[in-house]
Amino acid sequence: MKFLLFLFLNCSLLYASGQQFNSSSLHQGQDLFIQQYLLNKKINIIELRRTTNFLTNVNVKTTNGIQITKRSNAVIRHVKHLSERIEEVYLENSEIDSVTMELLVELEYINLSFKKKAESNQNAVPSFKMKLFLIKNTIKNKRRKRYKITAEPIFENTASPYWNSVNDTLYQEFGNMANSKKIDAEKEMVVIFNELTSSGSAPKIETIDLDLDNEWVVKWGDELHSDVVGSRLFAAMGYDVDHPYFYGKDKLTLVFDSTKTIKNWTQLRDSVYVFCKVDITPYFSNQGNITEEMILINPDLSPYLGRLYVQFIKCGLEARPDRVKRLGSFLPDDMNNENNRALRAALLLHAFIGNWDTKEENTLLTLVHDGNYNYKISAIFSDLGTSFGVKTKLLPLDFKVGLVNEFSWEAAKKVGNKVILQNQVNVMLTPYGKATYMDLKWMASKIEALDSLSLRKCLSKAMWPYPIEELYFNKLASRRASILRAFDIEDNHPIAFDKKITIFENNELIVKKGKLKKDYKRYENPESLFSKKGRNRNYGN
Amino acid sequence: MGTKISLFFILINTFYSFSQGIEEQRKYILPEGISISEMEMKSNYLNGLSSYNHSDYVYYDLYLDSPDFLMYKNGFSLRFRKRNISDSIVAYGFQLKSEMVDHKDIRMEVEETELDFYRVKDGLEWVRITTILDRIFAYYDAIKTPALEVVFQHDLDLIKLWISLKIDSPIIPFQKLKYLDSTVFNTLTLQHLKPVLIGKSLRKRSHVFVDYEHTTSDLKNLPNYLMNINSRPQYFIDHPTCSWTLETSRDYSKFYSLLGGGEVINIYEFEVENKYQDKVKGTELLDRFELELINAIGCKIELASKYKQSISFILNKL
Repeated sequence: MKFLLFLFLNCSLLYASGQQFNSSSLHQGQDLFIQQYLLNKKINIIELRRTTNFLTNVNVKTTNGIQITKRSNAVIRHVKHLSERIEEVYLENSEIDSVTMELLVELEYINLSFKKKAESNQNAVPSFKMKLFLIKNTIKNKRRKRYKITAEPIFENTASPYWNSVNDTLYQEFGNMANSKKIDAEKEMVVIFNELTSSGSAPKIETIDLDLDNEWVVKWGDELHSDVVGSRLFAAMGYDVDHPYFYGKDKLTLVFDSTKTIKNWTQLRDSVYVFCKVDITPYFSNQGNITEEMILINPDLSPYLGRLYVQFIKCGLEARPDRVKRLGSFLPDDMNNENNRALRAALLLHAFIGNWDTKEENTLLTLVHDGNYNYKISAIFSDLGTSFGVKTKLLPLDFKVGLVNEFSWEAAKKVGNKVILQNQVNVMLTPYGKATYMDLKWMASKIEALDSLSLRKCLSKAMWPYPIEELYFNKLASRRASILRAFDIEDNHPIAFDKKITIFENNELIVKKGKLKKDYKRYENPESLFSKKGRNRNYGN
Repeated sequence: MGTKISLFFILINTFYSFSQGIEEQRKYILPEGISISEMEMKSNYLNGLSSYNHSDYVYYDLYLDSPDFLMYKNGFSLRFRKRNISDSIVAYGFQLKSEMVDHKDIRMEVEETELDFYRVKDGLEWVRITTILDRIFAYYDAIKTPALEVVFQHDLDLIKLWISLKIDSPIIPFQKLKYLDSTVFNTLTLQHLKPVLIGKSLRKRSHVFVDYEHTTSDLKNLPNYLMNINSRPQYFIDHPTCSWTLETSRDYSKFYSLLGGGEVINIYEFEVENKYQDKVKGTELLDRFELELINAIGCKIELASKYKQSISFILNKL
């Protein structure tokens, strides 16, 4: 016990002095979570090997009766690297130092996240009961987001796997991250069908690009636009994210591999329907066989001459780069993360984009390869598309996202000595539940840095039709202003907005006094930007 | 240098992707007196399957077993291997392989593919396992003086020490042995593993493939599986209309006993391995190729691994 106290105090002092740990230190305040690996200030080799063998031994297929997901070779390799460095400390019979502590914390992160992945894979497709719980929880959580105003100085977070400061132009951060992960999303893409995916409730498939090296998830449904802009805004604020891209009419070509079970569009459509009960027929644009002419334009298509392909009215493409190895959740409820201020503050960012689906499964711990066989841990906010106007319904059980009319003009307001966030979330993760006024004020100060250009650039990547994008731009500017007002933050980059915006197109009234008036170009937007019928009602199709 | 490094990583990736699993591999004894050029000419095109000799490898092997030959008696071989590939790439592995009982059996093969970050303490100094292996294999190639003999024995002891310290570490061959039979293979029994055999093999590697522009009519519709660019051999990047099916190795190996008897074992054999992505279809292609090797060239089937052949020879002499 004395040792634990010593360790805790010692480490706290070291952090305070900043002498021992680098700025991206994983384990601030998390030392108590690795005590099982220590014995009399030295390495407990039996416990260490219990974990390292569990993480690397492919013969071990279950944990507590739960099926383990396939271990990636890169993760196995990284664990062995960590293991070997720690084992040498054991063999030297040395007392542990700060470097070894860091290695142990990293190992424990991988261990817990890997186990979480196995647990969440058991419930990859949310049950009716789970959906009901999430919607009921939304109502319950509404009462919890009131924050008493306090007068402390704004703290500054240090860089960590959960957050990094953005020094560049904010809107470029998403692209910078993509470059570091070697994600190359071109304006027109060709991907090869790989397999169906049963995770989540939106229609999606797994594909691979022409060099057969990087995977991509193709998606349809109501999150195509919102996911793109939500991820870019989180990236602009310093959080790591998944990398979704929007592809308009015929900009993405999906080629069928004759060696796979699904060999054509009809089989794909029918199989997706079986998996998620959404008919993707309205997304179909055209199909054909890969021709010599297509190969002349794109020589990488040559092995696919004559194979069938399909193109779509619109779809989303999310990168699964080879450089990023996905573990399980980023452990919001473990490893002392309730005290992680960057995580607690993220609640305000969810409120800013109106994200509803904040459950743990939408967080992700990753190992990112730096190109030289080194990996760094990074926490990702995933699936940020259930945002920008969400309508939930109990009878029948359903939800719809990306509904501009449901996206309120204000995200926060000050009432007396409290700030109230107006966003609904389906799960209040532990850090969000622990968020304080000062945590949120820190995030508000980051949102203040979002100027008109960055907001416009992030939004434009979503490729919403012009009137919808304009309405969203005005609403986001207004929500940003409401946050700064609520937290008494001076706005150095004010963005003009008009709550009564009216837009005509070809003499037709599309937006009247800040409200979308019609189901805009339904053929080009099969999910509908207007109808409140979500995936469980086939988007009203 | 850059090319060498990237080639090395590609190779590591390739080895890693094949490092944990099974290997459908068959072995043959070549007919007596057949020359290298004659063998190459005859196996160049067999019933629709073409061959291309792409590399010459030099393999050094250091086999481990217990004093009572736990590995040998239970049908396994456990070895450190150093691969020198076409004079440009060096890679190390720690491999466990099972013996075949029937010639159509599938061999289990697992490998710890990167030994570079494993070290053992020699006095006050940490030394990489790969450095020790380099010295051991250099001794194999060198003129063996008594001074070198002392270093050699010391290095063998360091290998033995490393094994005794690492049996319960996350190292694939140890994990696999304990998974297969923890009553036979456990911390106590594996503690006694030590180097028992050292050898060198000169290996000619060839791709066997279907060239869609030059094959039999029945193979023209064989699906051409496309592999990840990092796993795809250069030949198939350059020839996208050729589909990789099998891989052959023509080996000349020479082994020395480390058990004190001074036995020398020479082995000359031909191996064929299934590389086709549809493994069932690949087995059919392996059968097809084998029929030609036996009927057209006069090869004979061999079941025993090089290790088994060598230890059997040594034990028979005892």
